[in-house]
Amino acid sequence: MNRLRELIKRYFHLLFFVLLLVFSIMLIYKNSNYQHFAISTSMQRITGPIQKFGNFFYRQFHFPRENAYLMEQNIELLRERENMFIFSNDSVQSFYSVADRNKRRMYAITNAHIVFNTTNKTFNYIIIDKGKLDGIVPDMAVLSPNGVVGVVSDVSRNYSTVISLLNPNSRISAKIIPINQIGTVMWLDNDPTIAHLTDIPQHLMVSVGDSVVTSGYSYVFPKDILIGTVIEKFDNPNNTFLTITIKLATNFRNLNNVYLVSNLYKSELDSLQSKFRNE
Amino acid sequence: MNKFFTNLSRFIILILLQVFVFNYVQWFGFMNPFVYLLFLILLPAEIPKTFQYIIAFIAGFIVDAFLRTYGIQSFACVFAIYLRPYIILILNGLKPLDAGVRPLPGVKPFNWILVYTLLFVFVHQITVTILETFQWAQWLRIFWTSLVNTLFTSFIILCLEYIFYSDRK
Repeated sequence: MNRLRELIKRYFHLLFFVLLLVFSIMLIYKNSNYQHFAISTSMQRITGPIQKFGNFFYRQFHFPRENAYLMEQNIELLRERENMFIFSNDSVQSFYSVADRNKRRMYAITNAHIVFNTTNKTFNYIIIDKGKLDGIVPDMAVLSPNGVVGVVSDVSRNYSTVISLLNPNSRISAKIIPINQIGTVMWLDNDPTIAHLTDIPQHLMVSVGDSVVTSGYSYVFPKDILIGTVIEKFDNPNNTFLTITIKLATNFRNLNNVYLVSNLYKSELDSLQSKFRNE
Repeated sequence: MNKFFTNLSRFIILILLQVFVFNYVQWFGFMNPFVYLLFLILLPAEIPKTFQYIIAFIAGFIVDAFLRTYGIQSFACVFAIYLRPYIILILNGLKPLDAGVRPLPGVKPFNWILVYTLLFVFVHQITVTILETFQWAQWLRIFWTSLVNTLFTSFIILCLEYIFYSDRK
């Protein structure tokens, strides 16, 4: 008996070693149902928050790549929006179904980053990091995720200048949504959050909160892109038009990425228009 | 008591490092260094063996919990710490152990530390890879995966040793 006890004492660590190995194997053998489930769920409760904390820091390094992915995806989605196409219903058969409509691509879209941006001057402009080499041409529309930003004016090899909406020279053909009345958006005050909508006759019902979107009559902007919402309107005693103040949808103070939209039929439309002018 | 706290702090720091940094290093789909083995490598050999096994099991189990591979790391750690005296025995030329084995720069020559680290990490790594794969048909993949991983892990461990322990004699 004494010898047995001594033997156990001597090889106790070996016994323990085997015991731990067996326990590990039991853990590995995942079908050991309840025990494994209990251990993994209770450990998850501890490790989950810790890993979440670690992942927070890990994610910080991946934001640029993730942003690029998201930007790509946004362009894909914007490309397929309805206002990027012209639809023609030219047969009775397709009259009822939307999917069968004969559609033609009207606008192409890319993205760019803003290099320089002013909002507090009288004539504000933006510089973006794409130019002639990237296929940028003058009179392309510039949009932000929230709404209209401006129009490309000058293009160099790698950079382009954008006349932003916050510039007295920029006039954008717009319409008020529920009544579909066409007007022009102009920026007059030195406030980067508001603009004015003119040419809306006084007899029309315009209410505060109405959306103002691009009309699609200018060859530059696709139709139905948000410019802003009406915040104030009053009759102008000097003429027969309403004075409408709109709050711009785009926050010009913190723009980073913009989308550039080009009309694929611009030259064709321009040549038609110039003929008309010459007559 | 001082030794106890040194080891405890080393344990905590290395486990945190493993969990927050080295678990995210997953290059080429198979390279994943287990740097927390440095703790087991530096664990004093004069601790009773039973406690060594328990400590190794706990260390492996914590890393397991974060990798969701319950049992694999703990098995490998316990196995490696079990084989450690024999590795030291072979390295010392089959002579009985000198009391406090401290595989640190200054205490032992570089070759000794290198071979000791490589062997210890390899034992752990091949156990992990075998348990993960669990198919003898893939023995070649098991072998070279654990070999590459061993070299990678040992390199990081040796760097850490020589950075933080080289001035201590």
